Amino acid sequence: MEDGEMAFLTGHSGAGKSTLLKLIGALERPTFGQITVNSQNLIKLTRKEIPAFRRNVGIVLQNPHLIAEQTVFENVALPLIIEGYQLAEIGKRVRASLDKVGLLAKENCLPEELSTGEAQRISLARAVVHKPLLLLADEPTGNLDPDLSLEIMRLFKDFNLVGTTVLIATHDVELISQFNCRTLHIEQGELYEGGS
Amino acid sequence: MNKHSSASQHSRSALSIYFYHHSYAFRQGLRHLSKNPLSSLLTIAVLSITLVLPSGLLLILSNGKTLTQQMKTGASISVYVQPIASKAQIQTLQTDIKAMSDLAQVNYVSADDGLKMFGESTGLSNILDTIGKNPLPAVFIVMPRDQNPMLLNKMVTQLTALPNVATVKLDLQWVERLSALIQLLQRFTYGLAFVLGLAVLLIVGNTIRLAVQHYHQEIEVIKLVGGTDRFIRRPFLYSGLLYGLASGLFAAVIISFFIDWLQGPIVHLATLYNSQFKLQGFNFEDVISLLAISVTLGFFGSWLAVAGKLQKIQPE
Repeated sequence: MEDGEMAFLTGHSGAGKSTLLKLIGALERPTFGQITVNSQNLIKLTRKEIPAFRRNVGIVLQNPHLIAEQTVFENVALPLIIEGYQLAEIGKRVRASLDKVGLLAKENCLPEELSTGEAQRISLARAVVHKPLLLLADEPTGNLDPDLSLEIMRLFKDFNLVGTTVLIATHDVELISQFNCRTLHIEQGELYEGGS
Repeated sequence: MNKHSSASQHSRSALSIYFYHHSYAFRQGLRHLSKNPLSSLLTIAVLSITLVLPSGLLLILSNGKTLTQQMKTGASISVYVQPIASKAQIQTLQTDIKAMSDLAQVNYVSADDGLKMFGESTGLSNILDTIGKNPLPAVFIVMPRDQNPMLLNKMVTQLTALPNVATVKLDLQWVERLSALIQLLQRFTYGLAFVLGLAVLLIVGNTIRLAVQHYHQEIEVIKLVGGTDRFIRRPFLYSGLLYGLASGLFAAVIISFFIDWLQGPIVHLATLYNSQFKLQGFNFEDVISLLAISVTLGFFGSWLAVAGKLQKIQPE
């Protein structure tokens, strides 16, 4: 993938879409081969180097993975806290990120007060708050209805338009067809250019 | 791909990040405790009681040692004179005793004075008058210059060898027995402290292990966004440290109340034995030592609970 590109990764259930994304996001370790992200061979990363690599990647999963006991603001601020940003900068970036996903008004809410779509948008806001090099999403619309799915995909497109490289694994071919983006298809361990 | 914005432009220096992360971890550790206040208080109560037992016993033993030390300082040797000894022989004996090099002081209590003192202290003067013959011997109360046990035994041997001496009694035996008993109790208390310290370690360890399970999802999220094991571990270590600190403080307060509660009867008992003895509670250094031990136990207990656990948790 090229810098600033947006692509969809398609394939049947069990084809290996999630595994490929997890390998690219260093959530899983390859047993052999090479994975190069930003000129970095992930197979050579030591266990201690993995967190630093992940801080350059935004990851959105099907389950929003929000911390139930923390407010929306605190959830979104987490990557910035880990990186040691100044409090003022954290406030500025978190609010900008929440504004982009249209949920600034929910900054003091707890995740349990959010709808499924809102929770996924918060997850997206958290994934982009530290302006990552690469945004990975694994079935981000899997639990959403078609309207909400389209809304979430548009947000991904918006982030791509400002320069973020985006790779989204999905099996929703109809949704993909609404975006003019590169599509990669995975089948029986092989990656093909273009949808199935 | 190049990072769109330099993080270093907006982030702090490495040292500042270090302190910032510690302050964040401390707040998170406090949040873990305050999330279930009743459960945390019960844990602190159990830990405090576990700490009270050995530290309270050590304090009582320390007081016991002080008491025996005071008693040893006042140790004396009673030299009972043969009842058949004449006044001149008693005079000679006194001269011989005074000539001893390790002597600090010697007091003579004649048989008549002894009877009078016994009558006054027991209130049996009238009955003693009816006996007719004084059963008590004359006594020399010898105060040694030093309380060294070897020296005392040497003096006893020398005094026993003097003419007209019936018996020599070192008034220290019961104090030494008490001292030996205290030493035995001290060893027992050290053993108890070790076992109960281990219990504190395990209680904190188990509490933190449960907390790690409770915060499993949160750990996954932090790992997902690039948090290191160290970043994740710190709040749990602070929780353990806070458990230790709170239980140490609570234990010190319980012991202080206990000492105050015992002080009245102890002082009364001591007065009956013509002693000024008072129970000494914890001083500042003792409290700091207790806190240092409890905090260390809390810290290592949580460390043991977290070590190795975090590696196994990965975002799904």
